[in-house]
Amino acid sequence: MRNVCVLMLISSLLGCVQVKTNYFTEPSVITIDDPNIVVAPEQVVPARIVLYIPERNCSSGPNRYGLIIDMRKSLKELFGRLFKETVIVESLDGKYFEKGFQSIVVPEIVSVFHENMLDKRIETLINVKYTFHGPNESIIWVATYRGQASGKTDEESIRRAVDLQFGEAMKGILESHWWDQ
Amino acid sequence: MMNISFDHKMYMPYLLSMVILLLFGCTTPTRNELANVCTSEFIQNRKTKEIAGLKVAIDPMLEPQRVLALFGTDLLAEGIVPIHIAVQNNSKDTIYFLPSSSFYLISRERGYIPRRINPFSSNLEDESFRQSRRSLQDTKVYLVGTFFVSPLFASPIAGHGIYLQREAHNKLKKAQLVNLLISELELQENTILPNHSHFGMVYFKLGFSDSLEDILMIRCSARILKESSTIDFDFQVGEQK
Repeated sequence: MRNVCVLMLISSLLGCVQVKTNYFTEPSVITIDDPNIVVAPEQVVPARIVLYIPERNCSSGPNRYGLIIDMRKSLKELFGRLFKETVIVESLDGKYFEKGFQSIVVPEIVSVFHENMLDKRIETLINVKYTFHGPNESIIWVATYRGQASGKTDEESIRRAVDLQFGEAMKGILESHWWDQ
Repeated sequence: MMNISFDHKMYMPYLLSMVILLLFGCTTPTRNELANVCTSEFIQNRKTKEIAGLKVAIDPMLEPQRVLALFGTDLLAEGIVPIHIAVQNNSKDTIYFLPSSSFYLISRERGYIPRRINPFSSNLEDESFRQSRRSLQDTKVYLVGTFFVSPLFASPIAGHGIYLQREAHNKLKKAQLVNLLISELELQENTILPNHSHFGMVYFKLGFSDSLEDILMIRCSARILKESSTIDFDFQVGEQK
């Protein structure tokens, strides 16, 4: 009888332990304010640009965990440090090329993989496309950069991935010399 | 009072089977195993075309065995067609780029099927992923059910429940790894400078009524940056190398 009771107890405990797991969480926005990127004075690009960052481009839609990644503040910071002059706009109604600006830069989150892996780590992969537009709707330069990282929390994993992506973007933009073409 | 006695030995086979099932349930491919497969084999069977200094090579992965070997799952069975694309800019001073919207499958039934960006991304949760997750949840309910059944059957049912849960867990784990691999291999939009190359996977999603035999052609359009003109590269499916 004692064995039966023990087995019943184990079975019920197993059931109770299993049922408590829940995958759904409250929606939340993870804002990346300050990119972990240092731009030395000699690295500053001698170009005047317009940075166009509408919410639909620079903030990911909520994923199945209800997470939204907002990169607008960090993009402002990064481009502010990287270029001689950066003007931030949320609509494109000005005649910027006539005012001497060399490009309108449009960053866009192309895809995000963010998953609580079953081996207890949180993996994030983010692809961001940067399109440098010239006058008359021409395109000067297009590049997509990837950041991939894992962490113990959502924020840690996303922040690392975004920072890595920014590092790649900065390196790529500096090497491209599109402003000299 | 009724005297009921149970011999603990009668539970031994069930306990043993539980242990065996748990051990078997632990085998699942790791991400490194999946990633290692994609290094060389799938690049060999290429069809190549060169126009104005731009060389485009494609490898449509229309054989389930190859897709299975690369991704660890048969994407074709789920209607996802992966195509490996490699681009080499051999021109002296022309800068190209391949917009993400410039890839099409041309099907006999549906005409132009556009590229699907990241078909298994978190925002586009696919059916198999959803099923794996649901299956994991269902086995938890199954386990709770063992509490209500006769004590005689509680242990084997719990053991079976643990086995089912382990299976569902492994299936979901594999789906997560496949999902990540798909994202990692995907071709991204980039400018291709002279003497530079670019490669990756492009994915297409077929409809329920489409079959692989209906695919006639794969089209890829490259854009010349300074001229704003495009060059189309058409590859017949089944065409010789």
